[in-house]
Amino acid sequence: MKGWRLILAVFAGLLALSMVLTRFQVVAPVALRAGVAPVTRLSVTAADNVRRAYVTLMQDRDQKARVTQLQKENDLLTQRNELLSREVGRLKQVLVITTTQAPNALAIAQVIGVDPSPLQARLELNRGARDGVRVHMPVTVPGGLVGQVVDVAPGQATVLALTDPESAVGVTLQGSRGGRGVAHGSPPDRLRAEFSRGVPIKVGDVLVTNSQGGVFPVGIPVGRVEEVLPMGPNDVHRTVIVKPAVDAGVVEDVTILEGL
Amino acid sequence: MRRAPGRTSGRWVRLALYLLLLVAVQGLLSRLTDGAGVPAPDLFLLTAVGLAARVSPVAALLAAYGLGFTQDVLGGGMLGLHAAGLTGGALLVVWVRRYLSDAGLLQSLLGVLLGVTGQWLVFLFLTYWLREPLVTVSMLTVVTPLVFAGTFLVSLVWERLIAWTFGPRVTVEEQLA
Repeated sequence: MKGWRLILAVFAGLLALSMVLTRFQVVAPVALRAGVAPVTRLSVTAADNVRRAYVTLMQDRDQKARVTQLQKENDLLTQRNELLSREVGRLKQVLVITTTQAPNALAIAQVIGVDPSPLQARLELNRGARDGVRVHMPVTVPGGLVGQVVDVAPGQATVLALTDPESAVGVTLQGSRGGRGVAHGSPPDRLRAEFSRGVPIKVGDVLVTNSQGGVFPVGIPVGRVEEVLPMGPNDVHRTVIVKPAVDAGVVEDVTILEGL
Repeated sequence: MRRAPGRTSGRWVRLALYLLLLVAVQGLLSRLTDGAGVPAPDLFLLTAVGLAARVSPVAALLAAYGLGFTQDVLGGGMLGLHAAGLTGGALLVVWVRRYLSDAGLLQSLLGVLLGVTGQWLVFLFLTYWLREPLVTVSMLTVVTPLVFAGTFLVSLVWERLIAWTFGPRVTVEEQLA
């Protein structure tokens, strides 16, 4: 009990001392703190470094998530860009075709299938009767004529390419130099065109469509003369080998024309 | 019984190292927790509680006052505020220490709880005495529990350092003797 009196007395004394000090707002001189300043500075620096490391770690984690998100967005935009680029390409194609070949373009179609036979040259398009496609409509690309529609389903159409053996297209020399001929498909990748003996045709001449048959608009490039076959004494026609202006095996988008 | 001079100087070196660490780690924790917006664990209070469980009651009160005074000096605030607070915490620990064992988690928990309680009771008293809003209701409901929780968590590690510096706690048998 006596011990506790002493303890409480000491406590009361210390408390009274604090009461006086705090009442008079006594503040320690700065010089007293200067002695431990290096230690506190070290602590502050260490703490700041720890905090910065933590912040950097968090930012790094956030940035990784951000990079992943941006990569996804980038993939999406790249894909969209690809689609838009293709669309722009198609529209440009239509523009070129309507200004240089025929103003009556019906639709752009994609080639969705190619006849696997080396003896035939037929393409499947993703447009059909639902889109207004009809038999005998010409199919072109800016580079020249591809062929004509020979069969139509509701959602698809079959195109007979120029190099197909069943294909026949009326041609003439480019530049109004006259001459009428018919170019037949000559598998695997050429045409045979026959002209009258008097037509002054030579290697390198460009052949374009004429109005013969009433299928194709006039003036669409068909191909270039690659070889003029020698004529026999009894031949009435001059036969030439023509390299098509368009390789039907590699076209992706084609334009279907209304026809004449 | 005379102590060997080497042993005595070793204790002083340990004490000096401890004080150095106390200042450094308290500064580190304060800086770190300030950024997080929570109050720092009170290592000075832990030291006062540790001393109250080891030395005689009067010495414990004086040591706690000295520690608190050092805290006031280093903090640049009003002298005597933390000194009185730590003394209050030490007084409560001294009061109940004979009922506590010298080791264990519950004993640590109670020690910190009593220390924080005593300290904040004194702060409340000084608030009344100074007629200044030193302690507000929001501080009591928010800051005090956080200080207690943080200090208790740190005490699990810091107690080892206290034992290394000041030796083991006084057992109940030693107190009764």
